[in-house]
Amino acid sequence: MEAEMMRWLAVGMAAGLGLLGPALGLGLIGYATVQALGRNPEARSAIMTNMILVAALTEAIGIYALIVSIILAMVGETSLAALGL
Amino acid sequence: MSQLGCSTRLLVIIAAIVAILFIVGLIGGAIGQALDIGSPDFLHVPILEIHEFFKGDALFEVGGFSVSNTLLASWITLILVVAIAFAATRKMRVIPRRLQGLVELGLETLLNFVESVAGRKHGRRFFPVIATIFIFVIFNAYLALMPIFGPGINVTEREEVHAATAGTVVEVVGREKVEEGDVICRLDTGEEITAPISGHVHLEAAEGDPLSVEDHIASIESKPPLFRSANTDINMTLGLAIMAVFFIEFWGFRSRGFRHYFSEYINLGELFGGIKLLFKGKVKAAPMMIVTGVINVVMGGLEALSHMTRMISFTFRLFGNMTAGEILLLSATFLVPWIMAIPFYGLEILIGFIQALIFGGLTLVWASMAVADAAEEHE
Repeated sequence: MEAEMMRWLAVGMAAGLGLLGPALGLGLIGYATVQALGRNPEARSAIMTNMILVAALTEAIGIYALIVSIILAMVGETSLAALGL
Repeated sequence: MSQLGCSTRLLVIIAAIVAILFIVGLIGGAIGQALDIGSPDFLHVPILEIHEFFKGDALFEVGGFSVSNTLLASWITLILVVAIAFAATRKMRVIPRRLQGLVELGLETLLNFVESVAGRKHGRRFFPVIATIFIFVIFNAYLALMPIFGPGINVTEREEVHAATAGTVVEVVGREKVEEGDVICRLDTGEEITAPISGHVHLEAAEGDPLSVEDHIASIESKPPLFRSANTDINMTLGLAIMAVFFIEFWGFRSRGFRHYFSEYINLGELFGGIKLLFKGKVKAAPMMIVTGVINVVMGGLEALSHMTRMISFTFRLFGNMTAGEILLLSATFLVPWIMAIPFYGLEILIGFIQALIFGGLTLVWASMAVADAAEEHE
């Protein structure tokens, strides 16, 4: 495989595989929230506040994966040339 | 039951306008230009560049300090917020009227939120910092949706590259985008001609061309936007993150005292106590204490580490969300110009609000965790 092909493959896989985890995590958060709301609809504001907080923390992990793939995609041609690729 | 809310005739008119805009957008955007159906030139929408930079593009220098377009945007936010605050506090009345009432509504909502999380005692103390973070981030995010921000207004810079000596061109750069200092072409005399600025290259010389002195080889053009959302600048988000973490630690120290606050993270007491027991000869009780001591040290170290990684997570969470949103909006506009950006604008409004809430809210939660346990002791 050439280096160019591996580089673009790495960009795609970094974002794709890295976002699996946060997606699963957010689904679990939604599940727990809906269950809690079903049991105790009166605690709505507390449950929703906590849900938004934890969801943002989980989403940040996905953003890190996106940052990694952006960095990989943006590695300049001069840097690649300096590495000899 | 859901109601339409307007007459059918009005609905038909609105639908017709949206349909026309949709078709015009399809024809004029990237899809239509790629399909090559011979659409008239005046409909073509210029295909926009997506600048993926971590820091804003530097526009000009003021005494050695380079001002970037994101810095300009944050100045606009600053002026706007200060102007609103100034206008709302002119001639204040006990029963507020329009602008003062609106600002009071916003601030009171924020204060209720802060006090609901931190409790009445600490709520007022945390409020200025949390409210500043929230207002700054949300104003930055919403101002970025204005049309003057982003690739609408550009600061074009153009440089011509001339040959310094005579020779024949041996090798020419193959791609369109060059960085400052990249080699544009190589002559047979061994000399390399480099790019003075970074941007797009329009080549005039080809391989095998003979060149004499002062021949025009290429012109480089860079078009950075004049304003760019301040949240997409990693320096700004890093600055906010450092400030937030500094205040969390500061409040922790003030509430719990220096030694006591540190003792939660550098928890060597039990470990040393266990070793001392071992020396005193109480071999039976010592290993248990040593084991729990080691666990305490590791847990404390991990807690301290998580404190430091908060800075990184704050920075990248805000930066990633805002930059991804900017790229998303540009891509949506690029595909079907007028219509497809509308739902994404709604998404961006929501994301801006949520990110501001998260940044302020997480600072608040961690600060209240840092000042808590002041009255309760462990053992």
